[in-house]
Amino acid sequence: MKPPVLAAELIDDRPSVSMRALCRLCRVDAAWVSELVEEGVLQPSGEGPLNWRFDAHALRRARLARRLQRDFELNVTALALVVDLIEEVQRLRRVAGRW
Amino acid sequence: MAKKDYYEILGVPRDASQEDIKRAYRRLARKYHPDVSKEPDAEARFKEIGEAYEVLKDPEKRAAYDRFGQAGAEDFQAPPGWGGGFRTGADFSELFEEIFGGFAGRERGRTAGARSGFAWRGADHYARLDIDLEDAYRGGNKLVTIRVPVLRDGRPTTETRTLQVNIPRGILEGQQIRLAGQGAPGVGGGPPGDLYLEVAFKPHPLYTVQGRDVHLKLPVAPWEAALGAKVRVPTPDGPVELTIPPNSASGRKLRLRGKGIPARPPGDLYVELQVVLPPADDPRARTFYERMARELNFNPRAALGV
Repeated sequence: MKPPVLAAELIDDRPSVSMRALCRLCRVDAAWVSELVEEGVLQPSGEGPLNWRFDAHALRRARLARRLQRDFELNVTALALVVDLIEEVQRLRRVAGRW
Repeated sequence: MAKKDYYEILGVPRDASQEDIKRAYRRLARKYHPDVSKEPDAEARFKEIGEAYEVLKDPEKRAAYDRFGQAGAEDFQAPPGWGGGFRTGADFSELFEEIFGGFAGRERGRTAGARSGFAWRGADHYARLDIDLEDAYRGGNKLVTIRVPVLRDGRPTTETRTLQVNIPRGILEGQQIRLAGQGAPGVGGGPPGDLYLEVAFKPHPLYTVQGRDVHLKLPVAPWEAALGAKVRVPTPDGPVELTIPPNSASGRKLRLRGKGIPARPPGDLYVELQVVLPPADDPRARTFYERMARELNFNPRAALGV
C-alpha cells in the first residue's frame, strides 16, 4: 500500500525560512546566527533578526558552518573563509566533472 | 563486527604521545571530513577516525583499550561531563540530538494537550533526496525512502521510512522540500518537528546540470557539421529538432532556450557538438578519406606554425 502523499513546501531562492526555523533546523541559537550574518556568511533579507528570512542556499551554508565549527573548532572569521572556499571547491569539482 | 585497531586507524604507534595522537587525528579529520574530502568512503572513514580518537585522546579510556581491546573501551564508564565539542565516533550522542534536538533548538510547545508543564517540539530531521533529472522536468509524486533516527526501548537507533512526496516541477539541485510535521515526534504532547529534504540529482548518462541549465554532448557526422543539418536531439522532456549551422566545428555550443529545467525562469539546454569520424575500416571508406586528403587543401595544424 502506498503511503499518503505529503504536502510539500518548496524552499528555493526566495527567502522563506524564519530565524526561528533556521535555529531549530541547525540546532543553534539566535546569537550564533547573528554572528554569521554579521560576518557575511549568511545574507538574510528583511530588517532586523525578527524579520530575517533565509533561502535554501543560506540553509545549506548554515548547516555546513555548524558542522565545520563542531568538527574543527573554528572561530567565526575562519568559518566564513572555509565555507566560501568549500563552496568554490564544490563548484570547480562540478565543472571539472562536466567537461 | 570486525575488531578495529584504533592505533592503526590513526596511523600512530602504540606508544604514541597524546600530542602525536591529537596531531594525527586533526590531520586525518581534515582529510576525511565529508564536507571537504572527495574520497568515496570519506563519511565512513571520518566516523572511524572520530571513534578511534574519542578513545585514544582520553588517557583512562586509552589504558582500558590497551588492556582489554575495544570491549574494554566500550565498557568504560565516562565521567559526567566527559566529551568535548567534537563529533563523537559513537553515534549515540548525535542520534540522541537528532531525536530530541539540541538544547538551543529546544522550545516549549504551546500545545493545549500537554499535561505536565513541559512539552517539547520534536526535532527537525534533514535528509538528502536523490532524484532523476527527469523528475525535475515533470514533477509529481515519488516514493522516497529515508533513514531516520528513532528511539526504540529507550535506545536511539535508525529505521527506514517510506514517504510519498510531491516533487515540485522545476525543482533545482540544492533546493529543499519541507514536510511539516514529518520530523521527530514531540515530547509531552509537543508538536512533531519538520522533515527537510535537500534535493540532489543522480548522475545522468547524457546530461549534466548546472543550476537551471542542462548540458549535453551531441555527436555529429563531419558532413553534418560542415554542411549544416537538421538533427534530432534528446532532451529530458523528449526529443526535439535542432538546426546545426554550416561550418560548425567540434566544441561549438548551441543553446536551446528554455529547454533546461522548467524553473521560474526556465533554464536553457546547451548542446556541445562533437564531430565523430566514420571509421576507415573498409576499402570504400578508405577510398573516401584518400580522396579528401588529395583534394582538400587542409592543414589542421596551421595555427601551430607547422
